Amino acid sequence: MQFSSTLLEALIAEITRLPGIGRKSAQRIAFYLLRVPADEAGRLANAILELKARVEDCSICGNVTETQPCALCADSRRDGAVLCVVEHAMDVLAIERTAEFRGRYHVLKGALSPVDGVGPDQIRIRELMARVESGGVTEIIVATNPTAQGEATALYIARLMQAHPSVRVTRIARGVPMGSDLEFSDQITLARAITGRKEI
Amino acid sequence: MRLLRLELQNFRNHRDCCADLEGRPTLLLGANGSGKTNWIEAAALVSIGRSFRGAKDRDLVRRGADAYEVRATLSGRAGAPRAVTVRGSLRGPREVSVDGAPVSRLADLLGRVPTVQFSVEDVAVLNGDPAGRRRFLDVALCQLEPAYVGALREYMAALKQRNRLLAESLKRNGNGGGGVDETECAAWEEILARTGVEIDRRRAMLCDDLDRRIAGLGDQVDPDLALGLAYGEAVESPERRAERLEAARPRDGRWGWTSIGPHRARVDCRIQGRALNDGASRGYARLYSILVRLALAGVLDERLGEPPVVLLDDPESELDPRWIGRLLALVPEGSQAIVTACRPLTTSPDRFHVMPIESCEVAEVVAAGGTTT
Repeated sequence: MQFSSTLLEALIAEITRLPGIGRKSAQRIAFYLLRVPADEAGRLANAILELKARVEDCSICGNVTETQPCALCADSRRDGAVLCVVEHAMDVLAIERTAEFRGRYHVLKGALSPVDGVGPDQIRIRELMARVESGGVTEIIVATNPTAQGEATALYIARLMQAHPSVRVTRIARGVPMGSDLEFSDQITLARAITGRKEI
Repeated sequence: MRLLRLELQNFRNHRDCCADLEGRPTLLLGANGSGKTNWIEAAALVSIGRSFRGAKDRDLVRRGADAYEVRATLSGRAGAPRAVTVRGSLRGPREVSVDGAPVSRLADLLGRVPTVQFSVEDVAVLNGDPAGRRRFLDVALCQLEPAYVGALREYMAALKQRNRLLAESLKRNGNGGGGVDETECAAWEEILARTGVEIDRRRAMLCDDLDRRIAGLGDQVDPDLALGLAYGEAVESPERRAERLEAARPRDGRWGWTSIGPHRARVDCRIQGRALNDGASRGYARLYSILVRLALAGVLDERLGEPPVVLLDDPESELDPRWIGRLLALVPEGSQAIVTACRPLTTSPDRFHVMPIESCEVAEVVAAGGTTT
């Protein structure tokens, strides 16, 4: 259905492009924005503009930041000898929430996927190798997703790291979620967990 | 596992059809076009969560309706599902629920309502190209071993990626090959090696098991049949497979696709010492197709601890009339057989109940104890 306002149509079209939002939701959001006070809508518009103007990638780890380098890279209490390699900046947040990791990060901004035209040059692999070659790194924890793309990226990094035998390359473990009953685990995860079982 | 009742609403040509099978072996009798194969398709749908003919929901919805529903009431060993419902519509995803609880992943349904099914289209499958025979093994293993689903999914994803890598380099460099990032290719090969060897190992084990059983079943129908089934890919270590993939890389680079692995494996069906697709008669091909499913029923029974429902769509046409009775006697003890036909079977065990399937509706059982002769 087309609305009588082309501006409204244009806004709906823009909102529809956001991830996870279909046309119905976009219409609801657009009508909501139409009715909110001008200053409230202005705050949202400004927040988006400011974000685009001031937030950029950290020159070292690739995480999103307003300062160079980012707070995580600048924090001298963090252990620069251990690098945790993730696909996206959101994964940094997830690992930070665990409060278990005190090393530094490297955000690849993607994973190998020839089908999508993503090769090693399209993700921040070269930057990772440069960090390793500049010295001081003793371990790389590859925390890419447990998908075929994430696995291939992990294996690719492990192969490149064979040139640096002093650096240990590890992969995050996978298995059953804590605090949930086995009976509710999906069968594939559970089967994997059994295959990858450990001595206690 | 026994099917107590199957209700279809707006499924294919069935508007509203309720069959009270009460777990008994049943012969569904109906003229051509009465919807027998569609009924079998619906019964298999509650087991494997999709159409065994590969049909999409929009093909399953009855013309003029916008959604279908299939409800099965079941009885099995303790803990087995009592009710499975599958809903599909012209738009939106298919919804499956087990005992009222929605199932979000198909893998969580597979193997819980074990079935084997035979349909007319399957004859061409065993007797046709190897892809169909591999699919038969894949469908069976997905019911048997949840880990197989994961390995297969990962293998197919990695295969697509390596093939694209090869095709891209072919496009860039012409068919002299080369130009593939060797390290990147090796990363994908490592996944292909690990999951591919896993797939081969599980397929080979299933084939060994089926081979033993089908030979025995064949003997009981006719000692001259000499039936066999063999998996054509070598079972080897992931390291060895990775080496072979690496060795094949130059050739694969020239071709633009991956030439070794389970996606190319042969599955050999033999009858009287010859390959089934090497000029076996249609009757033999049909007999083999049915027996391999009965062999599979035995495997499912043993490994899942639950005898599967055996669905046989029109098994008697093109078959030696002496065979049908012997075939039905080979359905595993405890399995419920549901058989369709246009006319009463030449011979069938007495315990079969007859249900007419007419004008898109399956009527009640004709009479308790009604049998064919």
